[in-house]
Amino acid sequence: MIPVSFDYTRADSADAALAALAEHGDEAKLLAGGHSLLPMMKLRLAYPSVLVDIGRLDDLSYVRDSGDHLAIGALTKHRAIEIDPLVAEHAPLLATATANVGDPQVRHRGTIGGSIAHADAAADHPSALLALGGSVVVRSATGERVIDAGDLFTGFLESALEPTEMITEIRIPKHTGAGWSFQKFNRRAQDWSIVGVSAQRVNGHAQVALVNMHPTPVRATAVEEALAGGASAADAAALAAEGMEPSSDLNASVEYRQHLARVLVGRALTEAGIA
Amino acid sequence: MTVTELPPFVRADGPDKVSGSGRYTADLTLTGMLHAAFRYPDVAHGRITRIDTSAAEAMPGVLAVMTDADVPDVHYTWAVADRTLFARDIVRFEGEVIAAVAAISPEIAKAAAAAIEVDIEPLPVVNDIEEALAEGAPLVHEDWASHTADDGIIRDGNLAIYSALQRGDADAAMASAATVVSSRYVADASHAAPIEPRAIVAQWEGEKVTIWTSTQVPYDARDGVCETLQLPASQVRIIVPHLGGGFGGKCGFHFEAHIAALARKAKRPVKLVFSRWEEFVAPDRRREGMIVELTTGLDADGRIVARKGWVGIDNGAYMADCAFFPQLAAMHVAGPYNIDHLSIDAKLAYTNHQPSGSVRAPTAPQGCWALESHTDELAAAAGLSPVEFRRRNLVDTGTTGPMGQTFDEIGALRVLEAAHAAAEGSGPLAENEALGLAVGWWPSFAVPAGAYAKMHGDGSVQLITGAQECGTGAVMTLRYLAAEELGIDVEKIQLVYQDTGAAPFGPGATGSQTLLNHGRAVETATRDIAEQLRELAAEQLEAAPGDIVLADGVASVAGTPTASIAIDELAGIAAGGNLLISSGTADVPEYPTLEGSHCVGDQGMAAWLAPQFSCHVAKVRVDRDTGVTRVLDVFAAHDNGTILNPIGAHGQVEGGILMGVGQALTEGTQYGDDGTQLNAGLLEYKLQTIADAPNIHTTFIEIPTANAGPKGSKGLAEAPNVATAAAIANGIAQVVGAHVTQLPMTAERVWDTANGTADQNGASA
Repeated sequence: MIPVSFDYTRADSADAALAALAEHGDEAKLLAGGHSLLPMMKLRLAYPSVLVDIGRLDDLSYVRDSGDHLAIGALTKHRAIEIDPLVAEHAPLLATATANVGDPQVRHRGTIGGSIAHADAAADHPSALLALGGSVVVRSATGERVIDAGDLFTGFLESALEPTEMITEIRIPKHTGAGWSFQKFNRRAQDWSIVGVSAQRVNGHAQVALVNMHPTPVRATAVEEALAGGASAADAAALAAEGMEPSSDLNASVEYRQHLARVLVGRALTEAGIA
Repeated sequence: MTVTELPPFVRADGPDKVSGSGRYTADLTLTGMLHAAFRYPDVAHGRITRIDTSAAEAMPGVLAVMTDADVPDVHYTWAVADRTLFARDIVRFEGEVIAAVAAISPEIAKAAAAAIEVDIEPLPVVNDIEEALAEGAPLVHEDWASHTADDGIIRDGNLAIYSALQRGDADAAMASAATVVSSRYVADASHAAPIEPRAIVAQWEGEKVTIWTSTQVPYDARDGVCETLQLPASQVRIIVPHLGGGFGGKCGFHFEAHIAALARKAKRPVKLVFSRWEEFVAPDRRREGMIVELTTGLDADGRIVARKGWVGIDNGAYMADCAFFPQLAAMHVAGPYNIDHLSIDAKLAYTNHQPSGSVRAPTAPQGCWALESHTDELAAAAGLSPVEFRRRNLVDTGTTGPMGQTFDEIGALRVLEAAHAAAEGSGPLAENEALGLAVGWWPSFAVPAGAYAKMHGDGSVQLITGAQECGTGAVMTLRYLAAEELGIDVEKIQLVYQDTGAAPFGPGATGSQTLLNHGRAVETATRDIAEQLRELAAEQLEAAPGDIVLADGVASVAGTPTASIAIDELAGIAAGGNLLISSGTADVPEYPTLEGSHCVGDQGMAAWLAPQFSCHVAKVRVDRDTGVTRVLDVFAAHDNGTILNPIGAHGQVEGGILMGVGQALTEGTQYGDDGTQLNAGLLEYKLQTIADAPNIHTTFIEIPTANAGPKGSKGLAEAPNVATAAAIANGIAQVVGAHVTQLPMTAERVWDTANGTADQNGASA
């Protein structure tokens, strides 16, 4: 399909982009890699009247060691994260989740900030961000704030970002040497997850997040609490679908998704060494 | 083993396609060209109570709006003439064209199509094969009896075509069987899904129209235009630029007449480019959904003594080219087995779905999947391994097939042993891995075809054929056949095809027959030129024409190589006198006779010329907890006669297998209760990607076949798509302990089967 017509402006700086957002409010959308936004526009699920292209803000593309965490520029391409040595050392879960995004063409165009801002429960990055206990730095024309991953995803394709804000940086606590797992079930290679799991071992406890099991990216709270209460991995995994509201669609029924979540969480806990 | 005579070569159109320099139909732009858009119903079945095009016509930039009222009153399509270009009174599927618009931009055309006011009173939707055939079902064509039909067509109500195969006394033989096994398998519909959505450009000059179109069959497209717009063939020219894949989906006549009619009314060239959704729902070439019920009796040694079967096929709303499908499907579920007592009923049912049509090996992948799953059940019941059961029952050279055809030399048992041995030799299986084996067969289709050949004064040659390149690369081989006949370098040969204004008739890229038929025509035409060259050389060299040898660009006297003259020089001499021009058509091989059998509603599909045999063994790994199946390797052995172009042949097998993996595991059209497709897009219709592809190991059992294609070749394009899904199915069944009875065997269905919670009836359309 053909998107509704729109105006296009290219921002030469983050400040210029934020000024454009301030001017147009919720009529405007930021365009980074375009891999989530443009399909939405073609399906006419999104119809911004102004696109603010931030694709050339190269100063927002980086991975840096910031002491206790990694700082990743919002416009860092998936491929750069996938092969980054700092990410491999301190957040291998993120590297693997990133390597599972789409196909090589997508990973050379799409950005981590765009993927997270899209807040799609079926995307791989949000679950990794949740399991890693990360946060995002967001700026507007009037200031900057940090939002914890746990507070970021508020509804179906909705986040805590204001229309005038943009993500500038993703912060990932270092999990050097700790057990982790990323599990993805899809119907063919290079596709969205039907169900996925990110699990990260953190100081002896488990942080587990699910892909596509709920309207939002979500932590598997029942699993985490059961583990904290001393349950075995198998018993905890059996609770993977507790509190979740998965959809039934062409790819899988609700019952099958619930089953997959239990199986994949069990595998993730085992692989991450979480007993 | 190889008897290949032609040098290996890489297809000549590769660089154009890979670099982007090739031009496809959608790339064409003509001066003053308009853009077309179609208006579709938003229901699968309904009565049109009002069409008002005035708002659309009044929109600035709109130059023509057409409905049924604007074209000749013609019912068309092969076998049963049940269709009009534009919906008349009733719409019968979601992709039926109600109206067409031509406007100065695609956006205006689409907006205008949407602005046409159409009132439709919904009618009950026939959404299922068995519902369609049930007593008292709503009729898809209330006036079906008024549609003219070919002789021999048996039809009634929603039963579009009925065929039956009968041999011996199946009931009596079944009663004597030591073991009887019954099975039911249900295959969803699927799609050809070529990467290029179809495009058409039509331009009139006076009373003549030229149509550039992405078709596999230029002559069928021309004939459809002539029939529906009532034009003589002399006024219609079809040209096909590069074609971006077809897989059968671009066989037949589709929308060329709509666009030609629009162009005539608008008095401007008009272009149509389909969206992906349109490519999914509108063409009458969907792979048919199918239900197969089989009961087979075995003797104490595990030999088949009788088979009874019933096949239900989803025709969709209109007859495309499905008239022969019931009989073809019946042959596939009878299978390449020795069966003296056989009775198979096959029914093609009208539904309110997109019309079905010839997608690569129509009815075969589903029929083979059902049959070969059933065959593994038979083997288990007989206490035999899958390969041993097939050894005891497969047809082979000198045996008589299920319909009484006695086979000349064929490789049925040899492909079985070759694929089995290759798979067994591939190393140990890990837990949850298995080797699934299936045998398939497919006929060769011999029909008339023609070719022209001319040698220019510089010794270069032009071949002009009705062959069509649809992605297989088979046309590339035509040049090599000509080069060999003429004894010249292949680079001197230019191929002109895909233009009905220039080429003699040819069936195009359909039915695996580019080489089989066009190849014979090219051989005949170039043999004629070669004869002329020999006579010319004989005059120059003072020898007998029969002693002249054409090789390496030189005509020489046999046994006296010093007496020679360059073929280029002969061409130059001819250019000053009798021109080197020829035409060729090839005698159509005689079809085999059938003995001891009876066909009801015979559509000519029970006698198979030059049958092709294949055996695929799939090494699968099944995740029992999730149902996910990975196909790790496919070991394929094929008898396609002589292989003329090894690189192309391997490519065909690999592509056919990957397509089969998709049919097996991830594709499948899903319908809502309203009869509309739920996954009519590449996001939800899961084609395989190269990252999903198994390792493919192919062996050709080359048996030069008499009464077939050039140099003993048979067809090849469709056969590799027959057995893969069946092989995967049998692998899955070994791991999970039961057969998945629905195709595609999605992970969820595999998981349901492993848990014993599968719906044994399946969705039946």
